[in-house]
Amino acid sequence: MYSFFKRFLGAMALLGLSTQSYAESGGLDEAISRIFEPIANPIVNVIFYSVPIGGVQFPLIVGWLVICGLVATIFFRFIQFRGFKHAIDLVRGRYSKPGDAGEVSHFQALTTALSGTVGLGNIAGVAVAVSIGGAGATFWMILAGLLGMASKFTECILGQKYRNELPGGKVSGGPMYYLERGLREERNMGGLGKVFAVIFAICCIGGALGGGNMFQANQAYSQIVNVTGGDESFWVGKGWLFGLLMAIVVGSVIIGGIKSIGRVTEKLIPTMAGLYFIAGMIIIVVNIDMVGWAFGEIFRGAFTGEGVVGGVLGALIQGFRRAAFSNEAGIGSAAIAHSAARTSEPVSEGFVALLEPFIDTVVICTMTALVIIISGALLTDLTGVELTSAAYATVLPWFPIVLAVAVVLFALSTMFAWSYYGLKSWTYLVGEGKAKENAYNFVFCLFIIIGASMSLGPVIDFSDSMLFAMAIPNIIGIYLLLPVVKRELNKYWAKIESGEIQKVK
Amino acid sequence: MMRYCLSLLLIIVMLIGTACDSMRPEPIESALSHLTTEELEAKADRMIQRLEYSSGEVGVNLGRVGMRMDLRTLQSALEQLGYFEGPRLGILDPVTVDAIDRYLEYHKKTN
Amino acid sequence: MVKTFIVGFDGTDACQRALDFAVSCAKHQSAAVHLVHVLEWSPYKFMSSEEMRERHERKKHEVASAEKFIEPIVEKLRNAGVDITSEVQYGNTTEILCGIAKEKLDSQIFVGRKGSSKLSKLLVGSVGMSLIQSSPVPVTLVP
Repeated sequence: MYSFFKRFLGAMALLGLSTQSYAESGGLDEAISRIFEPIANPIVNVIFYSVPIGGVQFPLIVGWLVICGLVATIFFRFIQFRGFKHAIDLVRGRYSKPGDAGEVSHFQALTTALSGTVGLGNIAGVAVAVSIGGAGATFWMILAGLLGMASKFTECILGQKYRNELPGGKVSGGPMYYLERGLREERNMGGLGKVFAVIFAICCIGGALGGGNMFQANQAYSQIVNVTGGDESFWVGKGWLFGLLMAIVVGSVIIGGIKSIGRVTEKLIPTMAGLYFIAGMIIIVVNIDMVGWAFGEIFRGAFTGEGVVGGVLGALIQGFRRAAFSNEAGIGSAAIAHSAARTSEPVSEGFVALLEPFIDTVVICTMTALVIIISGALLTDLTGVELTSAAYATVLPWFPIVLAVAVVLFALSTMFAWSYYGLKSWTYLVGEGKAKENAYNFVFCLFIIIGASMSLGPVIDFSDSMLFAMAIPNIIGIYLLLPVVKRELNKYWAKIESGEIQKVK
Repeated sequence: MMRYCLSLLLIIVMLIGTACDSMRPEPIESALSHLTTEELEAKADRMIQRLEYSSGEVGVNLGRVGMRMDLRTLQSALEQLGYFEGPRLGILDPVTVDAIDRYLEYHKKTN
Repeated sequence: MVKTFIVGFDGTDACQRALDFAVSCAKHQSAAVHLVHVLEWSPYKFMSSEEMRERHERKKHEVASAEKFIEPIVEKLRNAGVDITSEVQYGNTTEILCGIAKEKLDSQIFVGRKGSSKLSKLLVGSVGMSLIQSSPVPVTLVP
């Protein structure tokens, strides 16, 4: 284990040394982009296969995600609204039995899952959405967040129902397991289920490397450049160096086994999220008279598209995409995270998970968008985390520095979360074993360096395509297993009505 | 809980530090506004090349957000150069096509 | 007439003194002693994903080691002729003790108090202090 860690550091150092030869030819960053882009481009073009609709290119995969949310919403008759109060009650512990003390509570399951999803998707992703889609993208983002609540509800119940308990007491769950077992047991489609499970596992590894890694590293680097002097910063053109540092930190946790770094990072996330939220709320409150106007812009943009041909659809695409990227509903990752929590009722976990897209997208993403719109930063040509940072800085000039710290921590915690999802998929494919796991972890660290070296455009395309690819097998599985969830849900409601599950407070 | 109270306190202290009348958003300059005409033109040319633009069409897939970001950068550059006006949404609408064509036309004459 | 003496027990010297005192009182009044070992736990504390995944195993482990820890003490007193029961619970010490006291009629709570009185204790409030404020039955603080 330790020797592997040393080898890893050695390889990283070698990579650092080899930069000298590149230094003359436009920097290592550009070299990495030149190597990586031709590999990524064909994949991106396949996943984002687009058809021209109303003057814009509409990527079919975006529709795929939204339709899933829509179908789940209708199938469960607006569970996200009907079950919202019940979800809050669960999180407040009003259904917790005394014997549950000492186990993961619903509140803990929610906050831990949130700390994995709240992050750069909410900060930088939203900025991308409103910079390209205009203010109107916010409206579609909120809508996608509301629909995503139903798809997340469904996938988390499935993740809970079909989880695997290993003899050591550890739990493995997620789409690979419900695709395989669920389709075999419920639909008698064992072979197909296995195929889907394998496809999902492969895509999830890609998602971990893309969305859970490259995008995070890229935007964290971008903000560090931003606060250390912009164009004159020491870090300009040294994305690989920043990536290398991040890779060493992540590597020391996932390869070196220094778990304390990971733990400390994760524990700081609620504070960082709190800081970000409070700062955002302050900006909104002191400019409360502009909020009405901002919402006006959002609605106007959503339905007129700023008067540009194809503007409405353009806003819609961006809103839906960034919402899906941020709350990960329909992607399947949340099912892996939630299957770790132990609960006697799989359905109650679904209700808790339903709150995540609400908090993540409807509350936090909307707040970011409002701040950007109010600040007028939308008129510049900035995008990504730089736009959010500039928007906050218009009112709180010191905030970019706080944001830089927060963004690095968010990036790290998301990387830790996703390294686990990817690892679960990897071990599902090749089996457990230290050497196998470390091989995956090493590649994971390598992609941090690649992500930090490239520019936002290609990174976001690759991240999105890898992440959304996971939705293809996962959503097919969700459709096929919808009746199972319905059955579980009906049983659960019956238990509540009969008093078998009682409110304790 | 203590941590939240502390961070709240921190923000309040920092807020007092920031004078109240500066709470209104200050206008921010566009990142491209300090570039010279040559630099802007170089940027526009590079984007046109990346997008594989020719006679009203782009060769790349505009369903990709990265490509729309490039188109947006091109729109910004053209706006600074005085060819384009309107919302920069990375959409290839007739206004944008017209701006790019006028820019290319002018460029051919000067070179 | 007090029937049950509830003793909050965490293995410190102060708690040992409280237990000894409760046992001697119980002997006089031929009452029972109920030993409560509380593992501090809040359902609202933030947990890292790693801790979440290991929680169930850790709980089993913690309960087992806690039982192993108080079992000899209970056994020794039982052999000495004391009517003694015990339980291990997760949660907030004060809430758990009050909850048990509510269920057992005619009970009394015994807890130990550490000798020192630090400023932090004043701010945070010790178990003894909060018990005094919220207990449904008489509380005895054993110094």
